[in-house]
Amino acid sequence: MNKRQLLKDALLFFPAAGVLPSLVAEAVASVEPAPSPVVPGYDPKSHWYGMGVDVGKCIGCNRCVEACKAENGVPEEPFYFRTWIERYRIHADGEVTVDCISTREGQPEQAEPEDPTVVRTFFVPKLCNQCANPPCVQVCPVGATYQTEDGVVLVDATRCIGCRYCIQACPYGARYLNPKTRTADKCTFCYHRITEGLLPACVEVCPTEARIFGDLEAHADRLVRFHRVNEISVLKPDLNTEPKVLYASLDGEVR
Amino acid sequence: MNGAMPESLYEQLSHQLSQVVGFIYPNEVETQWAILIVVYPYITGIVAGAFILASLVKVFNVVEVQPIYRLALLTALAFMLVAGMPLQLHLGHPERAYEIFFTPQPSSAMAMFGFVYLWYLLGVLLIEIWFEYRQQIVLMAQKSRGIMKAVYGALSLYSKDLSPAAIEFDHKASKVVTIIGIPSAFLLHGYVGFIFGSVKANPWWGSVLMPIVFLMSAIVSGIAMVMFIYIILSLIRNEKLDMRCLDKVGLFLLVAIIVDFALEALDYIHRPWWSYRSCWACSCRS
Repeated sequence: MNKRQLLKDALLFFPAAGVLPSLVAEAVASVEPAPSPVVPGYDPKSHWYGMGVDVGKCIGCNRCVEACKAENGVPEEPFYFRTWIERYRIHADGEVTVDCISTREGQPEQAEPEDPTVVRTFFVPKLCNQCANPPCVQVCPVGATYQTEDGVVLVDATRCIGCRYCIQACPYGARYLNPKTRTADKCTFCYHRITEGLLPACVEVCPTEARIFGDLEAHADRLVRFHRVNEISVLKPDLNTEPKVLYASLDGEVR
Repeated sequence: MNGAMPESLYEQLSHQLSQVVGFIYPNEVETQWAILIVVYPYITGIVAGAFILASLVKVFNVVEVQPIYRLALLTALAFMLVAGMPLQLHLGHPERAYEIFFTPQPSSAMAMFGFVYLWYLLGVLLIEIWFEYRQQIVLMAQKSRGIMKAVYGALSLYSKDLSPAAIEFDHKASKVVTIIGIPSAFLLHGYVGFIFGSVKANPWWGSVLMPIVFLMSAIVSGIAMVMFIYIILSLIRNEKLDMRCLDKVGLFLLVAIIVDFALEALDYIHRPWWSYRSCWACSCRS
């Protein structure tokens, strides 16, 4: 931290001592649950959302990443992603190299030269797993990050104190500290869209239908069918987070 | 949309990105818990360690350490009062910090720590120091006049009794508080270890040894800090050092370092035995 930053933080810190009179009013107000960001007539209890990702279908075009950033106002710099694409390359000697193709700024000038040692390559779209047993919710000291009744993990940016414990606790690297709001930020499954019956932006724009959005508890749903007909794996199942992002044809190399 | 991001942060993150070897998740380029979160456990460690040193005198009757008993208590108090500052400065929204006390989340180790900290400050340290200094404060209140008399009067909580029975009670009370204080000091710093050790996403932290390692490191840094301050103060006041006391304290420091080192060594020996893939949580393959 440089001097300027220290002074800036100090400027924020000292007025903080002056908030005492407003504490009582605030405390009374904060007992009430956060206002539900839900459209009238929508019943969150009757849904349990999840997403299916068919790894074999992803072509690594990054349109989902761009759509997500545009829809949700995610900072454009390559350090903040609600969703991103990883590229796995399996070499003839068994070595695996991974990189994130969403961190590249701008389009590459020319195609990458072909690497003859690569025997297989595939793309893996990543996003918040919307865990049924979310470690981020468990650690939030003020309850600013919470799970909705329809199974989406959200952050209340008016409550978040920016301690970043949730970012440390997420095993999937799905959270970041938004430099504009200085609060934790993450994928919401486009909650403002899905509660109106629309699809999340990333699902909407995917040209190969590599992403399937749906309701895991519905009787007839594309995601339920996806779950039934594919061999499903989730990321880091041993951590008991119970992810609701389900991967089909996922290579064991992916973590 | 880009305008809001500070240029310095962008440059810093770009530099960090260029340093990455292997693969990490793109959101993890930014080091979320940086130097301020390193400083904080160090300061709390000094608090716990200094208090444990002070308790050697009161509870275990180590008479050699008596000369630095009060210094150890005041060291603990001084660092306790500032320990929260690095945490406060590190928050994205320091002005909302009080929410940890007003709307705590019971499942969060960090939220519960707020109460452990408060308990230690208000329930142990201040009470112990008050009983230890009450006699002096009452005497000062009698001697001084004007505003200072009022200040000392308030500090003594308007007690005036200097009878032998009252002094005896002070001693007894501070001994009882110390006996409660030892497990509290262990709790204080062990809990700091738990905040890190309970993060299962990071196998480098997620270890049951963490609270004990933190505790032993706390005792090491606390004892060393009190020793250091004692030596500096003696130089400033031009007083002769009590070598008997320093030898004894140095002995405790040595034992604490050996135990601390052994615990750290255990951790490091254990890891290659389990041979986790080196950075298994963040999929780093280096």
